[in-house]
Amino acid sequence: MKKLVLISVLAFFCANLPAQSLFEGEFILFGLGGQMENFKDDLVSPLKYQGYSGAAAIGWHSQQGPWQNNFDGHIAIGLQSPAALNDVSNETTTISGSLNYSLRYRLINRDKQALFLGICSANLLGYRQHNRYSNSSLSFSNFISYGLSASWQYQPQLELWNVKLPFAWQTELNLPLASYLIMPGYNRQFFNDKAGLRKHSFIGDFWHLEFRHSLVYPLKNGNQARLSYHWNYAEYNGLNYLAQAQHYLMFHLLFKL
Amino acid sequence: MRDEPSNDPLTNYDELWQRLNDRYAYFQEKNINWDSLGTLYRAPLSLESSDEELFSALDSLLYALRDGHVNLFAPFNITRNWEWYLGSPQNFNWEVLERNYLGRDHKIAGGIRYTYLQDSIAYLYYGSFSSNFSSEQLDYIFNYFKEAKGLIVDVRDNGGGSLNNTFSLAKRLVKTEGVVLLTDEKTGPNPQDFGNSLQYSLSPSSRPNFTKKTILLTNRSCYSATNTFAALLKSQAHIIQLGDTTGGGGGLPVDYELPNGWNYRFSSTRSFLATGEDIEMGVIPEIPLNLDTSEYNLGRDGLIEAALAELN
Repeated sequence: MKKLVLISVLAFFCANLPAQSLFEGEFILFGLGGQMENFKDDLVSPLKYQGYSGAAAIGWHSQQGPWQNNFDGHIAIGLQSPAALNDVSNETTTISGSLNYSLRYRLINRDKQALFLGICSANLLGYRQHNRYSNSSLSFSNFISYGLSASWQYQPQLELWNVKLPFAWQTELNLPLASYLIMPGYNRQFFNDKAGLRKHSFIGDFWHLEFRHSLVYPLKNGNQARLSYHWNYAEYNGLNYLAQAQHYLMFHLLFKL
Repeated sequence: MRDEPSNDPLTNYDELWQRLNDRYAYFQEKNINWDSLGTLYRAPLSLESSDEELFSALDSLLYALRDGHVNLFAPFNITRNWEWYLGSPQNFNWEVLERNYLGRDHKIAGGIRYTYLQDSIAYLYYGSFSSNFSSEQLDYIFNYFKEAKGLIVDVRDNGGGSLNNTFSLAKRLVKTEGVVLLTDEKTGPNPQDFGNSLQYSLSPSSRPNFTKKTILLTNRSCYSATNTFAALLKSQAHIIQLGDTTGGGGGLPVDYELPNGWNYRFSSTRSFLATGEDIEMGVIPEIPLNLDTSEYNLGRDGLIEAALAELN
């Protein structure tokens, strides 16, 4: 009985599958999920803060012939507290987000796989409000970065009990080489109403990486569902050390335009 | 991501010592040998020291900074050095003020109480710069005072609050435009790493204001933003500060925490009069005067009486 239900469900969702790559086309996407956020911000604490956030995403993805364009962003809101301490009421409310654009060209297109390389603008933002602090309760980090981008697509054409399972896989990497940083100054967030630190930095002084792994499943009319894991990491070795890491799991629906 | 410091008494002590060593703004002005103090108060500590022993060592260390903006907040106590006012006469008695000067029918707008003490002498008491007021409320107050020949601005026992409020009120009192305050801040770990200098100017407000002779009453409990308020008015020839030196607190405090989760704060900036004098230890009045507390029994506030005499 379970087998019959499973096959029926898969058959329903897999109707009208395109013969071409299921990534082809132009899509808008919406996503909801959860995020684990870690940061170590020397303006806030010597401790690593950790906590969970709710996250939502929106974007536009296009793959036409050899070209792939992705423009998307996400925002997350949640609470973080010192990871090593259980019995303190110190806490930050964190609003974080990302805004990314990538333009990639297909270099390799084999039977089930394709590899794209290109460029990206990868921006990671974070605003943290500490519940126990006064004048220095706000901290922030903005990595406005640009660099290289790559993606790998794999359509394995699986079968289960003679039913085709048209899952696909996409892994994406954004590797910024330079970044414009906007952060607090040494002791205070702002000087003369402007962020205390504003500077261009190159890889080595900062690190910023973004990985995405997506399990893709086709729906009716060329639409897609994706279960995605994102890992976003940024670090700056300045007078105030800062590292920010986000792990988020998100369910996306992509509607074909 | 870098490793976190361990959570033992010695590391907690060292973390606080190092943070202040790198970022505290007033070592030079106060002639503090932070290295020797650090060694002195660390000596009794060990990896087995209790929270109370750690707190006691840090309390002694921080006390030496003589700074009301320096506190360590443990779950069971708060370190503090309040000698800036406890070591001086209070020079203020709210009961005498309320019953014999403000009276039953004084007006209240925002955090400001105001009235006429004599037919033509206006009086304004502002007890906390954390108590907000609107521009319209200031309009009302200074319209009410427009016929007065003199004004007493009493900020005794005002422990500070919002710097925005200090500038808003000061703007209604100044007669001449000019630089009134200079600030800088610690911008790096070396002792000479100060920068981000700013000059603050004030010009007379175009809204209702008071630019006739004014007496500013202060005591040692005028701290932080109130200390800054006294500094903003210092260059005005028509404003005379009377009473005790303000309590000080010229630095803006910033917060941080120890590996054990205790919070602390310390001064990260410095403030100076336009003439270059540091205001961390207070603003000195033109007319120094302490209250004769025996006058309380007669219902008299000697500072207000002196101000009235000065204005008359």
